[in-house]
Order: sequence, then structure tokens, then C-alpha cells
Amino acid sequence: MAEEKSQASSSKMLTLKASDGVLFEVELNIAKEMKTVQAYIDDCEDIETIPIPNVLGKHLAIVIEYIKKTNEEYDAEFEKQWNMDDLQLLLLAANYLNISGLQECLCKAIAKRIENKSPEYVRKVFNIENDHSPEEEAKLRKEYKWAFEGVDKD
Amino acid sequence: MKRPLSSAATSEDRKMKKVKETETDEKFEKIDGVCQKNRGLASFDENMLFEVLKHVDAKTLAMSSCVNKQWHKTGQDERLWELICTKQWANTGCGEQQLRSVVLALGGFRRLHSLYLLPLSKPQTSSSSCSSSSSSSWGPISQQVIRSKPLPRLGKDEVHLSLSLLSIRYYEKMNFNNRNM
Repeated sequence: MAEEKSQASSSKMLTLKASDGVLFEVELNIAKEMKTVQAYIDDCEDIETIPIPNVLGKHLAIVIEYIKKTNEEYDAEFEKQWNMDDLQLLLLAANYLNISGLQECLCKAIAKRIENKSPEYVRKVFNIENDHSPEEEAKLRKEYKWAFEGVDKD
Repeated sequence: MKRPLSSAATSEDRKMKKVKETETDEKFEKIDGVCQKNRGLASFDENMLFEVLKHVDAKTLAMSSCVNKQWHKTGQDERLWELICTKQWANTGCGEQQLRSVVLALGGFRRLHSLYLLPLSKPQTSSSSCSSSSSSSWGPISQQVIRSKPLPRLGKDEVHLSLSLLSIRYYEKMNFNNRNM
């Protein structure tokens, strides 16, 4: 079943089937680290379950854990170093150069930095001008009143 | 940059039109002859903003809608709210595409979330002012949820309940319109 392109390919899930039939659902990003899997995907785009006939479930589990862990640790270390301006410009660069892994990492990093932050904080940090009228803004704040409970102090 | 960049000549006009922004005008002085206001994610297109907002939680997405018009437009995107809704719930037993068509027809994921999923994770948000008052109906889980960011995984029953309530709301509105005609 062809997925709508509404979600970016990096958050799409793929199923890997080990030699003993054990199934693993992994993100496309993780699966692509395995060049063998990448080749499969390149051949047939719509595939959702990829057979891994040479690897037992228990070993595939360990391999997947390893990839996930090194990705997460690297990403965490990587994103710490940059200030918000750099993150934004890096994202633009990654987008232009079409590096989906890096784009995903940077999007997550930027998202993490605005998590639970007020609109004022977001505007300040991204140098965004508020083009809502006071009435519009008041209406929105009222509509999303629940979201502002427990928001981080600026 | 896609937006037209202001030069010194038009800065006077800007100050007249947007009186409340005068402070920010001065703050973002020209650097290298280019106005630095609206640098950053404001100059990103909506696709990029969408990609970033895919990774935030419901609270942040809602607050993002208040930032400016572009963020508001992106924050209204049903696909983002679909991600937020489906992230937390268990297997509904029906296909993703099927679920999507039904929910969109009945009012969308954003409404589903704010009307029916949100109350499931918080005790009595609409009725009582004190949110910690009722732990009896939903149990200890909802107490934790107020502070912690990820919402608990909702079981099949809660999902079906929310979907049913969404349908009822839709049909109630339909009948109401017919009566007036």
C-alpha cells in the first residue's frame, strides 16, 4: 500500500524479518544504515517488509539497538554544540544539499529547544515578528489556553 | 531570502504602520546593509517549519500557533495533529488511511485532540478550575501526566470513545443546521 507523501520518508516505519521469522519495526533512517536494506529499498520503493534471511532475530535485535544508540548519542552530542542561529542555517544547508538524516537530526534539535516554550521565547529566539493583531492573538491564546499551563518561564 | 528586504528609506513607513514594533525595529538594526528582522525560521518556508513541528508535543504545537501567521497556518496542519494523536494510542484495529479519512470527515485530528483526547489525559480540564482535584475517575496516571511531557498510550477503548464522541458532535451539528433551514 503506497503511503501518501504526507509524512517525510524519515519517519516512515519499515519491517525487517529475521531468518527465524521475528519481525522488527524500525524507522527508515535506522534501516538505511544497513546498506543491504538500502539496496532493497532502492529496488522497490513501496516495500514494507524486508526479509533478512541470514540473520537470527536475536542478533538483528542487537544490531538495531547498536544503530539506534550510536545515532542517538551522536545526535545528542552533535546538536549540543550549536546555537540556534547555526542550527537554523545548518538546516537550510542540509535541506539544500538534500541530506535527510542531517535534516531530521536538526529538526529534532530545533524542536527540542522550543519544547514547552512560550510564543514570546520562540519569537525572540528566531527573530520572528508577531504579525497577529492583538485581537487575533487574544483569541488564539484563549483557544489554546490549556497549552499555556505549566509553560517554561522565559 | 524570499522576502523583500527593507532599506533605510522604508524604515520610517514601517515604524508608522506598526507602532508596537518600534522597539524591535531598533533592535534589529541593519547588519551589512540588510535588515536582520525576520531572519531565521521566519525565512524558512512552511515545509521546513512543518518538518520541525513534527517533533514537538501537543502543548508546544498549540503554543506555536500563536507565534505568527505563518506558524499559525502550519500549526493548523491536520497532518501534524494526526501525528500527535496517533503517537499516543494503541493499535486501533483499522488501517491508517481509513482512520484518516474518517477523522478528517468528522472534523479533523486537531479537534479530536483538543476536545476528546486532551481531557482523557488531564482530569476535568473544562469543568473545574483546580486540576488536581479529581484523581478518582482517571487514577494516578493522569496526575503524573500534567507534569510530564509524553502523554500515556491510550488504549483501544479510549480511542474508540473519542472517535465516537467526535462522530456524535459532527452529527449534532448537522441536525442543528437542518433545523434552521
